[in-house]
Amino acid sequence: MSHNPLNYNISVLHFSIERANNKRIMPQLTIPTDDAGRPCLDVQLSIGKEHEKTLQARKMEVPTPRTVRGLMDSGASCTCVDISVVRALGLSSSKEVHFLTPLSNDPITGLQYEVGVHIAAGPTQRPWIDTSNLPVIAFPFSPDQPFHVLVGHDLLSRFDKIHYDKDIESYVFTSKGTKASIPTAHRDTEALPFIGRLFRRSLGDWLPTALKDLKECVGSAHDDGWDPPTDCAMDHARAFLEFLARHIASEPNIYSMGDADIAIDFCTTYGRNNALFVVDDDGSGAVFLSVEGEGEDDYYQRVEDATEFQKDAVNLLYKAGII
Amino acid sequence: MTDFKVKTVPPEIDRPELLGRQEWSERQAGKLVRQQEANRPLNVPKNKFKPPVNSNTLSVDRMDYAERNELRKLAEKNIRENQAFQGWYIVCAADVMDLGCDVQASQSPQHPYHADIIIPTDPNEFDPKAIKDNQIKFALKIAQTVRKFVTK
Repeated sequence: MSHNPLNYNISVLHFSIERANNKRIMPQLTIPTDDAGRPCLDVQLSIGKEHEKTLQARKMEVPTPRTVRGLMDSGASCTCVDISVVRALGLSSSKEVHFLTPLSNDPITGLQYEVGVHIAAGPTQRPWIDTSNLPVIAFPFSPDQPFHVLVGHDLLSRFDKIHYDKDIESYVFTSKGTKASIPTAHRDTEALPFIGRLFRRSLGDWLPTALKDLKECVGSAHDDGWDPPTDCAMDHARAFLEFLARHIASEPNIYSMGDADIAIDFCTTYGRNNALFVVDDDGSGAVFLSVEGEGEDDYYQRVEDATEFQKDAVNLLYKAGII
Repeated sequence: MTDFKVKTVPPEIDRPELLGRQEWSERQAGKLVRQQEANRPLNVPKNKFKPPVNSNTLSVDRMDYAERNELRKLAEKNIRENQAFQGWYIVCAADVMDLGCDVQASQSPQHPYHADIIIPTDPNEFDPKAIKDNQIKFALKIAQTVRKFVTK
């Protein structure tokens, strides 16, 4: 982009204070678009002041705020956060919530958290938004999305005007400074929030690729000098993948694990959590969960029949922050 | 004999040393490069850190003591059928040691920058699946310490 030779996404917050006319604030947020034409910016998420005070009173460690990429999304009725981010902050959910997407007739379940949200052009800049208890919906974002927050209509409605400036390839958000409070319309509303942009892919869109990768395990095992996966391992892995595709949107990495085994490997888009399912040559298997910060408490279970994975897989993936 | 002038490399592995585990799969390397370019966490295939059958050691290159080009040529001396060398998963010796693994220099005239990561084993464990699962647990943990993937 010509105005941004370093190809670095910056968000510029500009307050022109017109003291002479006694017009106090005219905040304007200018966000250059990324290569895909999206207005993305850095968003700092924290546990919120109240929670921080509680932890301090108990002499407990306060988690460091996390800065992640956010998308200004007028199609989302409320602000949403990748669940792995809120878990990295050590937050617990206050309640279960349901929301709608364009690709699902039925409501999808997420969890509501209260987080601190801080958006500014830089550490020394006056923030555009700085709230300590914004209710957000958390759920697992698709791994192919380069952002972890959808800044929804609840925050965007603070602005009076949003327009695209073609000359500088940026979205410009302008406010008269009259809307100081944060709308909390979704907090107690009967209507379900609508999340428009994120769900370009429906559940299980990844299955054809995963099944192709599964077939390629035979060749890759040979290349690595390992025995190729047995038919039994292939059948169990295929059945498990077909089961997973009916329940989750996150795409696993499929590869040969040596010893004629197959690995079905999930990784969070943020942080370093893994859920690794290994299907053995004889149809047995083992699952390994590694959750950042848990260390010795990492989960491991061996099963006689890998079809048993299906009983707990969704719960385990949830525990790991994959879904 | 190596084509390169052998540098003096210390016989002990220093904790801050960077170690490289080789990747030969073009498909996996492509995935990792795309993940890095998108600033996403690397989903490193755990099989890259699982020792070969009947072994508990992982071969690595000592990245701090040779130019990448020199290490690449050493890697390509062991050319694999239908595969081209793609790059290295970079881990820090300290991270691996902190997991309970030993790291030992194992240089030879053919490869002066070679080292081994030694996965701890239970000498009283004889169940093959328990032994394998133990190795996978370590493979998972070591893979999570990967700092970056560097191409040849």
